[in-house]
Amino acid sequence: MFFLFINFRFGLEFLTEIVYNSIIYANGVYCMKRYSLKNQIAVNIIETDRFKTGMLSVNLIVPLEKQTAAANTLLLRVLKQGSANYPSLAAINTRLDDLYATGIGTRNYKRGELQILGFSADMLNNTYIPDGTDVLGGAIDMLCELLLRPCLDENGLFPAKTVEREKESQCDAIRALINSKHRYANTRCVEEMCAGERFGLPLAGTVEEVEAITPQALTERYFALLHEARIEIFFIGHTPSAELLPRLENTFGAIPSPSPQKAETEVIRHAKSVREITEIQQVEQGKMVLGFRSGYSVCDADYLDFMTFCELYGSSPTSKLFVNVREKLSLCYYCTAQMDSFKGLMFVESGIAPKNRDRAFAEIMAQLDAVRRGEFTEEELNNAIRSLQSNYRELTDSPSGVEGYYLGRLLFGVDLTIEQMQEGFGHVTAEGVIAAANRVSLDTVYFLRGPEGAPVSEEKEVEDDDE
Amino acid sequence: MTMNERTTYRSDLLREEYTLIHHKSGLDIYVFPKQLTTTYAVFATKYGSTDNRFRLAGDDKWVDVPDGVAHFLEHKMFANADGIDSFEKFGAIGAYANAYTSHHQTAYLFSCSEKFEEALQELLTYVTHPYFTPESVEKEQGIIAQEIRMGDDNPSSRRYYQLLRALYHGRQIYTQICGTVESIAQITPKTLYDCYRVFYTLSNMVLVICGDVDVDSVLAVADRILPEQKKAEILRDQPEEPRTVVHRKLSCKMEIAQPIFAIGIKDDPFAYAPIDRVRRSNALEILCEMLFNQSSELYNSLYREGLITGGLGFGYDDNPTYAFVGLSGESRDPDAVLKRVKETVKNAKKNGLSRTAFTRCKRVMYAELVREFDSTSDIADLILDAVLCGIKPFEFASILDSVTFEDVEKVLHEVFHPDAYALSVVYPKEEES
Repeated sequence: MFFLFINFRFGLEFLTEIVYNSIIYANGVYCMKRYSLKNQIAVNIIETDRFKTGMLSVNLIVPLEKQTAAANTLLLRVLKQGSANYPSLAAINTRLDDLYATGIGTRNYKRGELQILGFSADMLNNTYIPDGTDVLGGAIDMLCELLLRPCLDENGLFPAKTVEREKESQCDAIRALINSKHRYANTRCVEEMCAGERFGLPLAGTVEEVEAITPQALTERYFALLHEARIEIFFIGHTPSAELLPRLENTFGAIPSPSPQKAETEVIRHAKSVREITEIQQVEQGKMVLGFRSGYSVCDADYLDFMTFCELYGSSPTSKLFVNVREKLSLCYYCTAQMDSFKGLMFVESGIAPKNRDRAFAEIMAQLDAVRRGEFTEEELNNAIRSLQSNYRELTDSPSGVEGYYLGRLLFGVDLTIEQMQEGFGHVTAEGVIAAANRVSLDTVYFLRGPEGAPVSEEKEVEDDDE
Repeated sequence: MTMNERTTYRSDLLREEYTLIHHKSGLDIYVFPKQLTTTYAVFATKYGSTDNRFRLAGDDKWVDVPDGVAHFLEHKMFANADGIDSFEKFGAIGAYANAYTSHHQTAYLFSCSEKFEEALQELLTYVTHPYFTPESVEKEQGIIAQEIRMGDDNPSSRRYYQLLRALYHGRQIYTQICGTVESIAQITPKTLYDCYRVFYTLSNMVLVICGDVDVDSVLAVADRILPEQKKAEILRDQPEEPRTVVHRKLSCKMEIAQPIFAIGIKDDPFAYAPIDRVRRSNALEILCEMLFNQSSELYNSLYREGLITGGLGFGYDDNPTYAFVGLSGESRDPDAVLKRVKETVKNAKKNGLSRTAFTRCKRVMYAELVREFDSTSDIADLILDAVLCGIKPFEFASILDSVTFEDVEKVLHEVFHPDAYALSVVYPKEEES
């Protein structure tokens, strides 16, 4: 797996244009070009007039590590609170409102065992701005402010007050995981299953880790991050690259020397044994999450076989799990299979009445065995393939979807365009799907349920006329 | 034979156009061409969870149905006489199908990137061909019971219905859209057929299509499948809703980390004509931006003081039978947040609003409206919204443009009445409310 880069001089002297070897064209609509700033920051541009909005993102990519994850997450929160020229949240937001509601979002997620941190801006194209405000220029400037011109105190540190408040917010967010039982159950299953792997680390860290971070440590983390991270910029919108690139060079070109981070993710191909974990909370509905090792990584040549298997088994409304566990046995409202392509995992999630746990488990496994034996029709296989092809075609309607796809592929060295993906599914065979079903192995069974016997719904309405 | 009538509307501001067809079957069809890969179609009926007591003009008796029928019916529409459910049929075409039910609407939709005509044919066919059997109804009771349980475990959903219960006297409004495990147990095929006959008449429905399609291909399918129907007048019995709230505060406890709250300010916009009502609704949304958005003094002080964690959600929820301004968030002290909201409103009434903030927030609303036109599903939803509001889709832009500073001042005084507030809180188990 490698990239073929064709280098040639771009019109502007300091810029190198790298044409991504496979030009992306979704129905011939657009293509992505890859450039590099002088400091080697990569800029990926998709020039298109399909949308009334544009999207610009700056992504910092570092290995997911226990020592740094919590601080990286906190850093993002603190940076968002103010910059040198816009020292408060109100100042930032007022500026963004003036830029026709330009939205600035932060992102913090895992791709395999990488932590991806960054800011993104989405904005109206200048053509829809009645008064000539330079919205794109304003958005670039704001991203640059947030990332590169932090608001530091007289000692050159992040202000203690801001740091403390954001630490508290982050701890609140960590504790708030129990608010969503669905998310809680999924997270717990991953934590248990990948306890010895970096993938099992929570991005926000633990409450203890967050509480231990000082303004000094956070400031050091900031400078270290800018130095250690691989930086990838994406732009999708109207603006021609000849206009955009000099602007990016003038701003993000100032980052000293970002490092080219290589993706290292440990993929365990087979589960050793099955672990069962049951937790009790005040819930009406039981949540069962089955964690599987998929046996595949996104880098494998036959990876599409696995994706097709997963779709046929449990991802679509015509899948084995939906049709049998939900429609035939009416055991649940949802029962779906999800995959993590980069870490090689598959999860089957289901919300069920606790008394039906064993029945649902048996049926989920029975359906897997059926696929392993090749008990599916050509129609089911074709449905799965069509559904996946259609998902990838429709991805091109979403700038952030396209960005997410290519960033993930770039980091893992997978040279496959969205269009090639669609074509690839057309070559998946029943044998491939059967092989994939047989490679999947059950690792962890996580079950969250209410206490036995006790009535779960002990809610009291409190009427409180306070005035 | 009756003819189809077409009219094309254009917006220079948005650089978009669409065609409205009064189809001879009685159905209104909106076709909005958009050069994107995904084509999105939604077939909706003006029938939702609040329609529990109704009859057709000419029928002599009111029909009463259990809570949750509209949603139940939505689930069961996917079943067909040939034993193959519509999910499967869409799957075979490569289209993604789904459906949803709200208080006033049930919508069936699909998105696809090829074979549009086949998918449209399936959509129009299955929604116009009900097929309910005792066995399939019984099976669905198990599935929906789990959907209800899932909602019971969801703190935001509990907070929402609790707020409705605090604000509204009318059971139709505060009852869960899915109904309860007990109410759906009473549903039989006959209940479903009764509701279907009344609400799934084509003159009570609308079809919206957005994507790379042309009007003629849509009409070719519609002409073939949709029968010509007489317009039916539907009478809905909805009790008069008093202006006052029921409870100032309702709370419950769940296993969560920190209290979550929702504040509702009950509104009564029902006397306004559609365009005036939308203008007023826009004025209220601009006002909410001014008072509560992330640039506002209130949000920033609450955040600085640690009185709210994360965001403060806000908006105006304007529906055919109920309307309120809503605010929601997470706070260790929801009562204190409510107090601050009331103070902010009081100060705004006393000291007046800022014209600069008005201009800025109107600009935010404009930008958000333009953004909706980047996605075929957002466009279709916006058209459905317009239909429900009784206006033409592009009028959203001209109405917004016409909102003045004085309109915003007016709604501030009219809506934010001290007695119109209600607070809903979900507390963590171990804490005292």
